[in-house]
Amino acid sequence: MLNSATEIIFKYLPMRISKAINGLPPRCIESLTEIRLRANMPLSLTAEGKNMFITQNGSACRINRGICTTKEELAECLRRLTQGSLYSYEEYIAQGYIPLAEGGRAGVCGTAVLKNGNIAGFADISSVNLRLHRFLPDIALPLAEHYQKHGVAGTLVCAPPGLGKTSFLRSIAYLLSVGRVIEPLRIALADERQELAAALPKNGIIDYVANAPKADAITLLTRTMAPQIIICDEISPNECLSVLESQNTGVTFIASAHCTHPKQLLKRGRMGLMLESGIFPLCVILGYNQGYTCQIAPTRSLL
Amino acid sequence: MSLLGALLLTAGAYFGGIIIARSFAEELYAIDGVLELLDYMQTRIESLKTPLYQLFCDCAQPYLESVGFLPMLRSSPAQINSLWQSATELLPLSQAVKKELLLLGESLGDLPLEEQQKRISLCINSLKSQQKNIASSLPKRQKGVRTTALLIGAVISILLI
Repeated sequence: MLNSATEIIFKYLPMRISKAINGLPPRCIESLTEIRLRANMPLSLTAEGKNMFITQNGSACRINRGICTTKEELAECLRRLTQGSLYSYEEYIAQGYIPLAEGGRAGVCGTAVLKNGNIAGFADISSVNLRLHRFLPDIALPLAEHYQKHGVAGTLVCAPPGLGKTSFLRSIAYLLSVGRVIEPLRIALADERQELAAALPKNGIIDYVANAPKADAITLLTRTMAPQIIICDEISPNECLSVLESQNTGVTFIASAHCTHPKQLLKRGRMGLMLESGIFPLCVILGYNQGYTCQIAPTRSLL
Repeated sequence: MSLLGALLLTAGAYFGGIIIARSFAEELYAIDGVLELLDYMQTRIESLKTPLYQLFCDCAQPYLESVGFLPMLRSSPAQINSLWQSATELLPLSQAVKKELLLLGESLGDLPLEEQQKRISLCINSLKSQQKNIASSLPKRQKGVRTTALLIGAVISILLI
């Protein structure tokens, strides 16, 4: 039996591939986090941080026995992802992803076409990485409980790619907006890649700006929506100034960053500046050690 | 009595000719409908980048609706270009016009914005010129069919008398 998130993603895969994945044991399907399709190369799946290959009937196997994705299947998958309308997704594809209506995204890459030195698109998409998003309402419960004991504070969620930063942010947005642990708070999402808001239940106090650069969304939300908390995924140096500008408006930030430890951010120019400014007094480090782990600590103690 | 019969036969053949001649105009209605759809596609793609499936769901062109063209395109969002090919076969169009539409359908949805718009524009221009040719030759063709039908009716009547 498939869970709903997986079912949704399966609608984007060609029949032969979805049948092969469907042959996996249900527990294994539930733990899938990524499905990678590459033209004329083996299909690879990621579950619990490990990569695996499967045969046509869904048994795990070595790479040389795994089923390969044909160019036609990759094209069909792209057609399904873009609703048969590539032009609608051009701008996203130029940034390397296709957002899904259900709130997930598919990463794409291949031979890039450059315009004024920037990637304007791909002449030939050779890889698609379907990232399976699930709404796990309780994974950020330890953080919500920490807020209950010590009060809400700016929080930076650190983890390498694929360890659930977005799911964690979604969960904390949900928990705080519906008031499950503490009184409900006004949450605003700067949802540039349309991954946060679409997958959330519509019963919390959540406003969002989707499909806009995070820096612009943060400024807009701060000025117009009077949020108590702004949540944004994968903060980068581009957003640092907007975050710092909003620091004195009384808004609390919860953001995620690609890193295994906050110390790494100190070496990234503006990111380090932001960290040192004290906007994120709290740090959450996500990891995987025979199950997902979540370490909550004051940022200063980690630097 | 036989004269009356001959007259009725000739008149019947003539009216038959009128009906056939009218059906020639059907192609013009179909081209009109397709042009309206292409224009709608062009505008929506340019201004909103609406995906094709959504666009076909939103479009309300009575002729294309009645012949099943639009309902067929709405049957699945995943196979737009193969559906376009099948839907084109539903239209009462000459092979030359169908060829233009099939050509457009081959790459429909698989192209970047600029290229997609260019292809649609090319198809619109080509259909417009074909529409012009068909419209200009239509009265002549219709008259020819009516006259032929009248003559056939008259000859049969004479032979029967």
